Amino acid sequence: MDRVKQILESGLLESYLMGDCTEEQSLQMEKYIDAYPQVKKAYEDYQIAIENMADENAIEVPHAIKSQLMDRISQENPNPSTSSINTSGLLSGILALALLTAAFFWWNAKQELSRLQEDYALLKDKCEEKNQMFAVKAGQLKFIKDASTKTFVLTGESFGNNSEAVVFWNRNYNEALLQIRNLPALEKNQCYQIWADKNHKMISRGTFQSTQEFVEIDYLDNAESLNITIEPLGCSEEPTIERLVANVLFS
Amino acid sequence: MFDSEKHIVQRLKAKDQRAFEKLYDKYSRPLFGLILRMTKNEQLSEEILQEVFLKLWNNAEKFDPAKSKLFTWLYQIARNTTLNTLNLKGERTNRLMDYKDQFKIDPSIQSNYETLDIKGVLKNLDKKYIDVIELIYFKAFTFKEASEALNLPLGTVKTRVRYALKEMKKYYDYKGQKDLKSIAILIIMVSIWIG
Repeated sequence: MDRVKQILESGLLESYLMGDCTEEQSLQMEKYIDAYPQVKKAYEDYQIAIENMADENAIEVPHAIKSQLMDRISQENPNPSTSSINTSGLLSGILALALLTAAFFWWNAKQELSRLQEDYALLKDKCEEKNQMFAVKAGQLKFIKDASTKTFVLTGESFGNNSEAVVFWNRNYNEALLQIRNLPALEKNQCYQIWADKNHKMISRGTFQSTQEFVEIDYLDNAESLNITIEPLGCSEEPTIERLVANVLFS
Repeated sequence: MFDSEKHIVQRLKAKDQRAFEKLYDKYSRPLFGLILRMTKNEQLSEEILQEVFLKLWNNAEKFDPAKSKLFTWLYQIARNTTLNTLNLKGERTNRLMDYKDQFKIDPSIQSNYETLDIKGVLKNLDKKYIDVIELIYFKAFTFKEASEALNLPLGTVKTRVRYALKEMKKYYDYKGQKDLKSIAILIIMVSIWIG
C-alpha cells in the first residue's frame, strides 16, 4: 500500500487534529506532516474544516465574561507590554516636550544673540566713528596749538554780533584750518566759499556751510589774503565780490 | 487594526492585553459554541471558556505556529479542558451513556440560546457522517468511545470522520468560490452602473 495512503487511512491524522494522540503518536505525525506534502495538505484542510464548522456553530458569549476575564488577566499578570508602551509613550511625550522647550529657548537665545550682535556692531561702528572724530579733533587741536601755526581772525560787515571766523595757517606744514561760529544761515541754494588771493588773483580754497565748526581748507603758499563769499550751491569759478562776507590780510 | 494573526500571537507572547482581547473577540464565540454543545450547561461553559483563555494567556509561548493554526490549538485546549471538567464532575460517564440523546438539551439549560442544533455545511452530509462528527467534534468523544457508542468498528469511525472533513472542506471551497463569484458579479454591476 502506498505510504501516504496508509498514513491517511490510519486515522492518526484525525486523532492528532483533535488532540487525542499520545506524545509519541504526535511526534510521529509531525514527522509525517513534514515529510509528505499530501499529508500536510490533508492536515491543513482538516484544520480549515473544523475552524469553519466552529464559526458556523458559534454562540454569543455574555459580555460579562470578557470583563471578568480581562480583570483576572490584569490581576494575575499586569500587562508589561501595555505598561511598557504607556511608559515609553509617556517618556516619548516628556522627551518631545523637553525637546520642544529646548528648541524654543534655543531659538529665543539665537534671536537674542543676533540682536546683541547687531547692537554690538552698531556700538562698535559708533565707537570707531567717535574715535575717528576724536582723532580728528586731537589733530586739529595739535595743529592749532602748534607754535608754527598762525592765527588770523576774519572780519566783515555782514557778520552778526556773535559771528566768528578764524583761520589757522601753517606755512611749515602747508595746512590751513578754518574755525567758524554763528555764521548767518544761508538759503538752501547757497553756500559759503573761501578764496585765497595770490598775485591779485582769487583762487578757490573750498566751500562750507554755516553749521560746520571746523573746515579744512586747501593751503596756498604765498597767499596774501583769505576771503569768504556767499555763492550759489556748488562752487563758483570767480568770487562774487558783492557778496563778500569777511576777509583777512596775511601780513 | 489589520494585524496579522502571526503578529498578534507575537504580541500575546509578550503579554500584550490588547492582543489577547483581539484573539478573544475572534475566537470566543466559536469556542463557546463548541464548549456549550459539549457540556449543555451555560454556567459551566462560561467557566470553561474563561479557563481556556487563561491557558492561552499563560501558555502562549508554548504555541508553535509551525505545528498548527491557532484555532486548532485553542480547539484542542477547549476540548481537553471540557473533558477534564466533565470527568471531574462525573458527568462524562453519563454523557457517554446518554449518547443516544445527544443534542437533546434540557429546555431550562438552553433557555438563553435559540438552539444547539448543528448548523452549517455539516448538515449537507449524510447522517452517518454527521453522527460521528457530532460525537467526536461537538461531544468530545474519543474515536474509541464513538466506536463503542455507535457500535461501529474503530476503522469505520475514522474513515467516516476523514470523509466528513474532506467533504466539508469541499463545501467550504465551493462556498468560497461562490462568494467570490458573487463579489465579482457585484463589482462588475457596480462598474457598469458607475460607468
